Amino acid sequence: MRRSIYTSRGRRLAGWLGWALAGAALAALGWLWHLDRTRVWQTPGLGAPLVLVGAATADSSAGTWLVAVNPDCPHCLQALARLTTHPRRGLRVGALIVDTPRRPGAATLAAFRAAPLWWDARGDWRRRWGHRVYGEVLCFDPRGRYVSTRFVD
Amino acid sequence: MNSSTAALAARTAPDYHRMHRMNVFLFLIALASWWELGLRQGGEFGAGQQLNLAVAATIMVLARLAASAVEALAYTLWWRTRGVRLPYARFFVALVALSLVDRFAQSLVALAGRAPALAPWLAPVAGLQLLKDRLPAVEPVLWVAFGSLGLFTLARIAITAWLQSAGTGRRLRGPLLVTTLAWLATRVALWWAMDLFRGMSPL
Repeated sequence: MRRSIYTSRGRRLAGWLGWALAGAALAALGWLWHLDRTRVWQTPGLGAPLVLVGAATADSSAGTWLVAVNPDCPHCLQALARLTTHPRRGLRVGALIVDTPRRPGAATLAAFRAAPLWWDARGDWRRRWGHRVYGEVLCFDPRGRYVSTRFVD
Repeated sequence: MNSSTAALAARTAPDYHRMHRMNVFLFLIALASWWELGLRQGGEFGAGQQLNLAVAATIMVLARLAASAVEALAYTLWWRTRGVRLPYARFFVALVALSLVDRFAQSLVALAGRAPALAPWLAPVAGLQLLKDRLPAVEPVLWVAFGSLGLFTLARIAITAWLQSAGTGRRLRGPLLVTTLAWLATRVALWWAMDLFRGMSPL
């Protein structure tokens, strides 16, 4: 009987097991999401433990914006370039070098053409602040306090 | 098989074949439609050369075929688990044909982009995402996950369920429940996955 193919007990059991696994995967994803959303993340801040690897002398009366940049990511560098092309008065636009375990060399730093340059040596951007998307812009007020995070238009 | 069941089968079989022929026709139209969208989006994203545009259009068509193939496989396996046969190939063809509904919804979203005054009127049909600018407090990830919810999406769910009902011979209620739950589960999974991907970063 052809229909018996679809009703054999072993196959049906395997099917239910597959769907149970899919349900368990969804539940696991939900659990991970719950843990991630309820975790208390630190507020981003300028200064230690970030390491200043490129100082800025420009006026910062309107605050400081730092683009989260991985030196190996061309899109991050483009986002930084877009922001620095048309600078706003009093606003310092620099970079926060993230996901880079070794201190960036002079050649790498020269490619940024922005200042200040902060290096996230301990990986706080990802591990303690909970941020994960390259190219985002961390906005700080003139006193260096965190205001918000946004993206380059 | 008693006489009334036999009569019913005799009446519905040609209808089923006619519906399949119509689906094959709509399948081809859907492929052409996705190809055209791939060409247009390829042009907008700067793929200027003819070869690049063809590659973009091919990727668009293949992505749509792959999505429908996975969706059809999931439902076929579900019904097989229940001991019921759902013909895979016919269901797959019908799902690709049904993607014309998505394509039409996308066209309305694009229309609302060109004429923002129409957005509130088109939102109940094409998707709540058209109200995004008016509701800035809603998390962007929720728009990505549930923004397509509108009459077109509800129609797509209903027709997908009806296709399963017709293919398996089951009453509509069961397939409708399965399809609705599947849509909800995939949207919630997308929401959670995107939230995990972005962390505290905005989108």
